[in-house]
Amino acid sequence: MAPKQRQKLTAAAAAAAAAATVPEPTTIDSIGEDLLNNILSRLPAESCASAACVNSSWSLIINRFLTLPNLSSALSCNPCLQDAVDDVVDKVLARPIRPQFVMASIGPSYDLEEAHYLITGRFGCKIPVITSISYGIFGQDANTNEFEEVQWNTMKDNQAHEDLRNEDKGVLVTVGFLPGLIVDLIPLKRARVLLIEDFMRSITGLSFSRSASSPMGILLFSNLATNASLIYLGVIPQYLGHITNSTFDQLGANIFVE
Amino acid sequence: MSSSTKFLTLKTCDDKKFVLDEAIAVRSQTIKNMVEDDCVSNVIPLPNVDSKTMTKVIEYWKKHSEEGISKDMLMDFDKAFVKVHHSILHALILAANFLNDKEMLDMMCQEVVDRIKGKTPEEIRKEFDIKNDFTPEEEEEIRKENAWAFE
Repeated sequence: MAPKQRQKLTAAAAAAAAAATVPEPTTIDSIGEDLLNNILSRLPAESCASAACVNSSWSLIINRFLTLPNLSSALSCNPCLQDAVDDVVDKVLARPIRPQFVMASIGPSYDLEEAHYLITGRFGCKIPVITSISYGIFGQDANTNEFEEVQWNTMKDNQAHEDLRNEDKGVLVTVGFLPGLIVDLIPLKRARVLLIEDFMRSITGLSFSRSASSPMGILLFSNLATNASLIYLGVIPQYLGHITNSTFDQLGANIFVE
Repeated sequence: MSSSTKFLTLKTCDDKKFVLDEAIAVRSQTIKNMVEDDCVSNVIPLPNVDSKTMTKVIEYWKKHSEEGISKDMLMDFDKAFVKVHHSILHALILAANFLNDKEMLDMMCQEVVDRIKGKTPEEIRKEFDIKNDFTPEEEEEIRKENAWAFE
């Protein structure tokens, strides 16, 4: 190698070494995993889902916090159903979460089908949404973060008072991600009596098919016409934890938790 | 009061020196700890920060230490301050992290958050000049997991 050429090479190596000691942070990944985690964990849920698809390092960082158990809930007492739904959904999706199920309770002054339609519209058709009319809704307000209760109409004559126009109006939405959770709709058939054993067999069958174990707990939704106490007393006590929720009217799926 | 003003000399990784009022420099928790532990002789070396970035940091510190500056004026200043090229923003994030100025770090990170928000994966890659390193199978899988957000 000619001496001149060698000199040139050494100079290039020195320049490279100098550049290495003062790295120019040109790409976002150069700020390091901790700071990137700080940034990505502040994204709203939808943007976070987008960011997870950018490249493998972003995907890895985001998956680390999206696969932790997570529950997000918000209440709105806005008398306009559309605004109330927008408020609460924006709030529950303001932080990263991978929605696995949605539970909504609405005041009886709203139209159940319309509420269910609006909520489902915000989450897409693949996420199970349960919407129920509920008497007694209490939660953290989407805008003020204060704990609020939906006002209930206690007057029998139904004479609306102007200052009580928010009566019976409120939407509470809870979105969750629980590793291992199975959500499905299972019909409870009736011959002459309710076929509760068939029902339970379907549940345990589904549980075994997905995870080869029996359920740890069951969260069940049914309408008033269903005698939920029969299910409760007859079959479910063999499992560790369970909540049976009998609502006045309900649209959506049964949820059961493992 | 001015007679009691103490000055610190900060030396960046490219050997540039900055003389700064101690009251302003201690916005950096890192420098504050050094001052409190009495390990400041005369020059504080900042091996992770270059002079170009430090000039911006000091501009921010001085503005935020101005007496009688209104909240609105600070907000306007901050808004203009974060409107920089990505490479400068990343350097500022690293500097704020090293100097341990939580307020500044929060603001810079929030700016990156705002640049990501509301974009598709393709738009984010374009914005930040990021290469898609997924195999088609991996990408399909990850898209499926996050499909709810794209519908």
